[in-house]
Amino acid sequence: MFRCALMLGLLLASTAGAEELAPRTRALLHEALEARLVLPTEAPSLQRPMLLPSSTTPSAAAVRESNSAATQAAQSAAANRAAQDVANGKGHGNGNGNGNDPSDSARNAAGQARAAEARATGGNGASNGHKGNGGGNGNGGGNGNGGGKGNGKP
Amino acid sequence: MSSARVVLLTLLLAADPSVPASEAHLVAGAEAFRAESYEKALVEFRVAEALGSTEASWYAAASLLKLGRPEDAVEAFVLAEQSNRAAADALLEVYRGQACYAAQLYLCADRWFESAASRAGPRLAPQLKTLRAEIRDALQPAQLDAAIDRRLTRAAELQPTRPALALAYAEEAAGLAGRSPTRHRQAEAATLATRLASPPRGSP
Repeated sequence: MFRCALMLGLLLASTAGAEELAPRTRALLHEALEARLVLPTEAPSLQRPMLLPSSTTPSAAAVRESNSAATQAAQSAAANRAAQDVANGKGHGNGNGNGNDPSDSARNAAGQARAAEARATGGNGASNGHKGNGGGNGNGGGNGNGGGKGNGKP
Repeated sequence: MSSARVVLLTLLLAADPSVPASEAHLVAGAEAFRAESYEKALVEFRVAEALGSTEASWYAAASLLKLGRPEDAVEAFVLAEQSNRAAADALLEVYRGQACYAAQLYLCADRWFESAASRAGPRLAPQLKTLRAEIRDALQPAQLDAAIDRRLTRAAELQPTRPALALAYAEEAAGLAGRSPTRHRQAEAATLATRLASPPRGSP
């Protein structure tokens, strides 16, 4: 009985209010995106080669192979940190120590997210080539490094 | 603490809609995004998504763009829209437009920049207008047919495994074909886009 009630509670806690984002959280998200918004400066061109199809291009496959381990390690570390923090009651910002973020659910979610990202990464080898550079690859965040990637410049 | 109290506390927390389980991960994702730790932001948003936040999908898509994965971002935005259309705002539309732009889906980019510009502030709106003008200039009729071919090829490659992304390419090809003087492969592109936009048989 006790276990059933506890499981029910944890289940409800993991889904309660999922669609109701707190205004403070929404503001944080908006501010973060706004702070890192860098519009492209590279002129559009229909003649530019398309992105390489990862499933058919040997070079993309090679890139995928060489980067997948590092990528998965990085993602595992981040996911594990997230799950561990939750398990420890840190709660990433609203950590009130009440255990309102069920560690089991979070661990499962982190695992699923990690697996999903690993799958996604495996499906797009071309993009893996941009990983491992600290995540600031050409987006600049106002520092103007552009990098010719076309998805964000000052 | 007695078992009854533990249960009561758990149920009380569960009943509090102001503290969704995903909230902490959205906050952590926002902080990571701001710190340009886009790998970490992506994982946090994915965790929030797995915990039930459909809004997190939009921010995961933005993170993918920042990670230099425009195709993945385009696909993620399509899927985010399917799960929670209402979550988008002008800023997310700009990011979505950028994802399309980086994937060379220029009509897609133009559509989202246009939508965002109508709601953007005085700083952003003129920049979006400039980008849209550049896109308009880039769509040279002489280059359209080859561009249509490439996008249809990509759509066909993606169709079996990533229909949402294939749809974006097919729609782009159909849009470009509509601008082509010869209506190059227009019917084919439109048919493919329609088929990809339709839910597969047997799905709810």
